[in-house]
Amino acid sequence: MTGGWLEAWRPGPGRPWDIRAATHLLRRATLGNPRALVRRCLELEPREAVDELVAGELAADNGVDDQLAATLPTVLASEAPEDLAAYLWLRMLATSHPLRARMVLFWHDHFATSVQKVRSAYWMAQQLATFEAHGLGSFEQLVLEVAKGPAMLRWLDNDQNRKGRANENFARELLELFTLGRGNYSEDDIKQAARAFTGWRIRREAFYFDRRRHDTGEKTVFGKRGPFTGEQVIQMAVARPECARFVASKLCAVFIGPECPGPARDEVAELFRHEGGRIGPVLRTLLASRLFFDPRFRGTRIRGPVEWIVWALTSLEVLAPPQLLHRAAARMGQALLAPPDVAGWDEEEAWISSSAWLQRANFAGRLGTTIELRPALDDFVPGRGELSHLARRLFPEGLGDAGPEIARQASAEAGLPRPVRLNGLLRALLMLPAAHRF
Amino acid sequence: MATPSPVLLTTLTTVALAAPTLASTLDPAGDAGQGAMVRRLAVLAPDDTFLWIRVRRLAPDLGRLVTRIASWTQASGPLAGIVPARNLLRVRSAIKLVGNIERTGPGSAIAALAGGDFAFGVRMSGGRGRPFVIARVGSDREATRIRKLARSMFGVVVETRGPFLFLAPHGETAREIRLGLASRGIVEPKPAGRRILAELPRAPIAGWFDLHDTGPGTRLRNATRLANGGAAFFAGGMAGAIGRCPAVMFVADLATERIHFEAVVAGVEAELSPAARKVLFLDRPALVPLPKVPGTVARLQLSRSIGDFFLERRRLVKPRAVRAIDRGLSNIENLFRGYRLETDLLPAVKPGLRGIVRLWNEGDKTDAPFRFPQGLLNIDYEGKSVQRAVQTAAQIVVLASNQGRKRRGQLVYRPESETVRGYHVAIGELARPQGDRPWPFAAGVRLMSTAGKDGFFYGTSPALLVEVLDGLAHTAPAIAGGSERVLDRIELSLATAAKGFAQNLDVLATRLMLGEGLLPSDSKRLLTQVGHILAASGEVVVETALRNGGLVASFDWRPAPGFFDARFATGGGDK
Repeated sequence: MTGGWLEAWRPGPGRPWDIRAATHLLRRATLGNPRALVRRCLELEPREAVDELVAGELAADNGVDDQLAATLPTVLASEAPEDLAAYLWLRMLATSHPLRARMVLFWHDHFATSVQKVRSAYWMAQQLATFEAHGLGSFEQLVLEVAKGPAMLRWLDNDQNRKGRANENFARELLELFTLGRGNYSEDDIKQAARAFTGWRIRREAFYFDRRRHDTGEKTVFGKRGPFTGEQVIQMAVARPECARFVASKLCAVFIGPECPGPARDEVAELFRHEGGRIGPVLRTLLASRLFFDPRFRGTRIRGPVEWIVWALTSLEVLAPPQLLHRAAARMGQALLAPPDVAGWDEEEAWISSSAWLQRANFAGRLGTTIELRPALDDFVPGRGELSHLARRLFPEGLGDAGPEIARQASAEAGLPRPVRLNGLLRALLMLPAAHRF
Repeated sequence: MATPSPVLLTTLTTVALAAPTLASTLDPAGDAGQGAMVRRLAVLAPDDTFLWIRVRRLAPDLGRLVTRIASWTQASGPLAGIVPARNLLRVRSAIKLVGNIERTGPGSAIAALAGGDFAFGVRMSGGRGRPFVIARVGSDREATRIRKLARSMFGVVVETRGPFLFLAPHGETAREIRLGLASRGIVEPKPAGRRILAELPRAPIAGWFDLHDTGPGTRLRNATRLANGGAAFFAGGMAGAIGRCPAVMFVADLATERIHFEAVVAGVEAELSPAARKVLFLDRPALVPLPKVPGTVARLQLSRSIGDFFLERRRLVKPRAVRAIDRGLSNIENLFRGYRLETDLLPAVKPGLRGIVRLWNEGDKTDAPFRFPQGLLNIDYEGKSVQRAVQTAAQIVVLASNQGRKRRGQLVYRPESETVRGYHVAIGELARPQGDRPWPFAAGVRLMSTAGKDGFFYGTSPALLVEVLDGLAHTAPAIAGGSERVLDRIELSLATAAKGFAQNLDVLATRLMLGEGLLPSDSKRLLTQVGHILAASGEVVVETALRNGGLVASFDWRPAPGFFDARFATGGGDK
């Protein structure tokens, strides 16, 4: 059904399937560009690479996801949200299914829920597990599961929603922020939808439908009349064309960038409908499309703090203390599990305030002393220089105009002790403008 | 050949040859005093023992000390060495002196002793003492210059290792010195350490750390200002005396695998102020430790009169600290509803604090998956009114904790009570998690508190309380009189702790994973290695005691047999 923007991208003269194209795919779809994945991509055709990416087969399964998942009960035993955030960081850094991890971050922003009100790391973990299980599946199922999760029930007070005293918080955000977007519903739709969600409660740490609290009366939602339940309202909202456009615009903002043309978004919306709202197939087409690989849209996004840190570490193929990363990203304006409000984080230029930039510089200046750089230098060849070695990890496509300046700095610092020198190089590389765009 | 770590050498160059009671040793006590000194050194310095002396900012008494040492070395062997230098970087004269010692004996060197800062010492071998010098050089160029200079001198061997220079009249001695230093091993690479250990004679290594020799303005010198009751309360009797402690003895015996430190300060008891004496409750029988129970990991005993410390705070600590303590007491008073701390409670809280930690008791029934060590803390008191007050306070603490837990979305403690050996025990047990919610760590403990004739108990296992009470019933309550009185004592069984380590490996590995960014498999591998080291680490006892009016602080480590071999003599070959 695809045509125009979403037709499959075919490499050819002037548009090679090369290291630039492969790193673009990996950076947008997985945040990082580790060497093994770049190499694997280039062994495949673009379409095959995207298929493997979506299926979670691009990276060899090293068993780390299972290992980490097995620790989750112990992580949650501390009852500390910071520990869950640290766990989430490790998952993003070490996973062998990086697109799934990327989508967990995407949906965490989309269904922005803060532990500061929810207060339960366990409920937040349940929500993250929902993103992981359904993040590449049916959008309708995802919305339903998220809506019934204790985290969302508590976050938007839906567990207080009862017959005769309907609470509109959840219904309003469901329509405005989760499915349709502003202007695509009426105030009456919200009031009526809120009645449909009455009786949704939390019991024994899980969703519980309390019939006695549910308003079984007739409701009129989107012009239809009936004794709708919450599930039916979600179904109706997701089925509306505005929902396809809304989700498409969110996906385009993240995977294509802020300059994505309107007609292209419309094509993605059509694709979403055509695929029955299944996110994985939508991404399979989108990421292999002419739209995605169009050079005009490469490097047009600004990395958020999490995206920036994950890119740096996964590209260097090193791990770092996740609790420290969590605190650093929070200082830069993105505390996982604690988005500023239900609309999620302000993105793009909003990430680069003067104080956030200073925090990024501080982090870059300390990272070399925090992480164990040895894995990043395991195949270091002294004759070829540390600079080119680190630079190739972070920027496989080359440093471009910044190369000579960085080389001058490397030369000036050549006499310093090696750890100091490496830290200085890393800081210089991570503070290049190219490090903050992708 | 292994290169001694600068850190290690920095430590070792502070070693000074001095008897634990230096002041008395330095008195011109004639033959009797000298004989005692010789006997002491002879005990501590058998063959293949290294004695280090650090010479820096020579105290007026050092001349006399040197005379004593020289007399002793002349008496016990043909040669010992005393080498002065003005400072660390000026080693030219040191080289000359080593040469002079070899040619003329130590007497000629004594006159040159006026100041300086470097280490010298004696290695005992075949009934003889062989002198050596360790000095720090400023640069490679200087080291090279000195080496050239030394080569031109008859009988002096010089070797450099890192920033350190070894000078000795015999090549063999220089080598042995380096081996001796490396035998401390923990900073050595394994293969090198293994080789050194194989070559090293199994003999004790002894030394004395001279705490006077720290120069003005240093931390230790400042510690003399802590010689008051406040410091005595917080850091133990040692804190008040450490600034005046002349020397600390150190013995490492690889043959018997024992490491022992001991510091002695004479006359401390007589110098303690009345307030400090009250805080240390020297007028009362000494505490005995809580009885050992199966699986005991640690026992703790702090002899401080908590009540007297707070009551005497105006005499013991500075006014600013008094104000902070007053604020704290005011807050604490809120827990003791209807009681005034100063008049009703503190006078009754008398001696000390005791504690015990033991492994998880497999007999304890719980559905929670955690097997945390269990602990019990005991504070003594007098008077029934205190009993009621502390029990109420303990319950308020649990209630307040529950409020906080509830606010944070955490499971809360369910209050229960049991009667144990006549004690009414308040217990806080976590409610079972609902649904699929994982057990929180807090479920691994059963908070308990009770008060009775043996004082107030606060712990994490009522079963442990039963065992301790049974043990106390068969223990004499206190030790009165005697020439030695233990003030503080911590006994730690690292080997037993290793079992607790293994029981909680998953939890520890997860914490390490989150803290350090290690993958679970790497965390477990690392912790398993640490567990093995712990298992072989035997027992540690740290103690401060009053002995014949003086203060003795000691650290005693007895690793399991083969510990050092396991650390240095196993694993791959030399590379």
